[in-house]
Amino acid sequence: MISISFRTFVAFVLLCSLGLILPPQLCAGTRDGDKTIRRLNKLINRSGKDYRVKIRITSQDKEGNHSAVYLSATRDADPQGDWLLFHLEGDTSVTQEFCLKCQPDGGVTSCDQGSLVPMKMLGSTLAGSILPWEEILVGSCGSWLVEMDPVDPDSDDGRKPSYVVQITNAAFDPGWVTTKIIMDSSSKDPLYFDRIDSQGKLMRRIKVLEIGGTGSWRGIQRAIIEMNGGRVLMEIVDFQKGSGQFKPSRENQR
Amino acid sequence: MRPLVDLQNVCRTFGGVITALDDVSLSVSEGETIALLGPSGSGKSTLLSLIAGFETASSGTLTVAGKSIHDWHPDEFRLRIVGFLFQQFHLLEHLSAVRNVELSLFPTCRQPRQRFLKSRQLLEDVGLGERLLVQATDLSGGERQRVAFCRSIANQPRLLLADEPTGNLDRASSQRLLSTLSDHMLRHQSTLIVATHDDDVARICSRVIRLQDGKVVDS
Amino acid sequence: MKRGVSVDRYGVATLIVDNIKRRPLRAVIAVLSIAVALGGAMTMVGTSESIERTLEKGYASRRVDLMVMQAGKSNPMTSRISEALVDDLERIEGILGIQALLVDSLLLESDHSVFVYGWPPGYPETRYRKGTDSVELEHGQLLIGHTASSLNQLMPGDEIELNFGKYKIVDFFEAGNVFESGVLFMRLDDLQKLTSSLGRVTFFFVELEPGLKEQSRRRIIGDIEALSPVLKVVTTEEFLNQNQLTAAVRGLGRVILFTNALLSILIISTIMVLTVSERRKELAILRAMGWSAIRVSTLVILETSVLSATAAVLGGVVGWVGLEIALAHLQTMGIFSRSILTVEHLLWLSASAVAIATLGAALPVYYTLNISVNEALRE
Repeated sequence: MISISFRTFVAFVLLCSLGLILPPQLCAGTRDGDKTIRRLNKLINRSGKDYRVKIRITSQDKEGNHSAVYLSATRDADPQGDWLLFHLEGDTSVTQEFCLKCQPDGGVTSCDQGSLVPMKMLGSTLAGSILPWEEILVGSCGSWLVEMDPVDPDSDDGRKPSYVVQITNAAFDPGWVTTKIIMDSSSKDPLYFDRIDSQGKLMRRIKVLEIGGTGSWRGIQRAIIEMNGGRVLMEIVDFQKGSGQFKPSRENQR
Repeated sequence: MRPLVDLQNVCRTFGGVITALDDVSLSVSEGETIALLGPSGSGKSTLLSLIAGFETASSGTLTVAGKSIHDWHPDEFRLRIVGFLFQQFHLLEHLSAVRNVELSLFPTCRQPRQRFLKSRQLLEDVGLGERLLVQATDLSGGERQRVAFCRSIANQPRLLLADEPTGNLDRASSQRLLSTLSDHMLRHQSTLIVATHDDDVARICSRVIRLQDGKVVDS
Repeated sequence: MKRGVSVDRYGVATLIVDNIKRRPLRAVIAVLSIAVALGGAMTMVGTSESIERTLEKGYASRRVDLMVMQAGKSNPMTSRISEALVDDLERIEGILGIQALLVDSLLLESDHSVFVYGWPPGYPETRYRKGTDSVELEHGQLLIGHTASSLNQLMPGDEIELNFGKYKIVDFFEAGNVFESGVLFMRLDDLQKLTSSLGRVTFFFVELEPGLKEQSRRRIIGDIEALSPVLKVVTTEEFLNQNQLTAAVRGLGRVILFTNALLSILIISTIMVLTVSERRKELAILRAMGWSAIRVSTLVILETSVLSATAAVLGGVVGWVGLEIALAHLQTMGIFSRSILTVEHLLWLSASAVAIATLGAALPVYYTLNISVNEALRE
């Protein structure tokens, strides 16, 4: 243990504050950027694999018509398997229910089929092309990893650092879409998640409206998505941890 | 008549090694003024501490006012039987002269006004009438010792013990204090035991007891 | 030299105050620390009680005896039960009235959320004055509580967007309680359509016949729950106890109260032990003068009590201010309640002060009783 006098310690702190003797990293300890990345990861990754969440999805098209559906997702993860049951009801022509199996590498199969289901194909079977179904379904099985933006890291002109989100999922082509996070004015919370396609074009913008506390599925309680066809409001209306028990005790053989 | 203070074969040792008092026997009658003379380390202060109940004898018997010292409740003993005058005065420095005396009257007098009046009287009697509200730190050594004297006699104890009361005083203050002590003893027929190495102090006493190395050598 | 102090009034009180004044910084630190600790605890406990009492009053003003909701919901606001059950409920003996209500949290102007209540037609919550007449809300119309109006800067006549639906505020709703003053009111069918909850409500508020015995109330509760396995019936008191927010705040308040009380005891104990240690000689002089051990200890206890009492009074002020700030902040989150500080709270504060003084003085008194007069005087 290093022993320093009180006066030396005070001098160290003062000089660090003035940035005169040591680079900010050493004085500050962990970089603010690292803390932000940890916070963002916590915000958008679920905790636990046994839950039931209900999301209200209200859509409005360009003509102003709006409707609401409820998407319930129940996850039942145990040694018999990691299954997700989706239930869709509300302003839809038919109530839909479908089951997905999460594979260890993050890939997704149907509960009663063995082969990988292409996400775009799965999305097209669900009502409402305006909805980002593939992200909900893929993201439910995979993990979202926040990193510093390699294209635009901490720049010298004092601009704030920006971040990107990668989905770690075997079924997801990483080149398909990138998500860039724009932080709010305090740089503490995310304000926008911008989906950028492989050509760098903005596909859609997700605006974070409300970040919930404990009990929230992913921390983000409410978000609005601006898309070409209109806009979508996504709200977590209910979340219960440890309540997802639905699959049979033994997995069905194919 | 039964003596007011009676010591029989009293010993006081510290740690079983240092003998402060060795087989001391003496008696003090009511109204007597006793000077304990002896050089430093002869056991004078220890003897006074034992009589005051500040310390406990290692062996022997000690009776004060007809009861063994162990049978007295220490608080009652120090309130009614014994008053103590210290060499270092031991005033509460942050208080004034009159407050120092008033504090000693708290256990026996409930009325603040009565306490004040009695304290004022005592201080006036020793010539400190104009110095009532002066803080103890601003008093001279002689004045402080007179305040301490007033405090020690405020509850009219039967026995006054004084440990080198003039030890920290100049000659003039010493003379003044001795005069005060003497007047008090005469007026109230109180019993006084004073530990001193000052012959002037011994001169105001009716009897001298000499101590040497913890023993009484001359009584 | 005369001083301003009356010289013939030197009593125990003056002695104690003088002793405290000799170490002013220490006394101020002790008092402020304990005041903040007590005040913080009072804010927490007061906040949960205020919310509870306000909600209680709200339900009392509606004459709600029982609440029927969906079973298994930790957040009652997410309960959804069939509106059609009202016919079955009306047939149960002992039930005087039933009010159906749909509650939801909606996005206002794509910015932040507000609570919206949907009431069936015929209720005061869906009627407003148009000229001299009392009329029902039409589709697309809203009433707004005064608190909601000021918080969201909305007035009758404004057109707003709720979850992409367009609505017009036609009038204020004169709420009977603070909580409902912070919400918006619309027709039940409008809210059901907007949130795709056709045929569903959040609660049935049930009013029972007056004077029913406890046995009859239990029978009614059993009859209601027998209608469907998804139903749960709670009394308003049970509902308030289950309210996540108040339960969380109440639980936190109790923990904070306990830890802060302990902290206060430690603070005062430490300060007084330090003080006694520094005043060993002074206390020994008092003993030598004839002060009994109990008298000296009483002095220490009284000094501790004065500090605790002062801290308690200040803590009460801190707590009251904290409570007002907390409730104002909760209002911005859509939780409306009024500060309710009662004589009971003041009594609790006083009791805390006594407990802190008593327990905090234990160690200093122990030290005081163990002062060796002889040793201390030799220092």
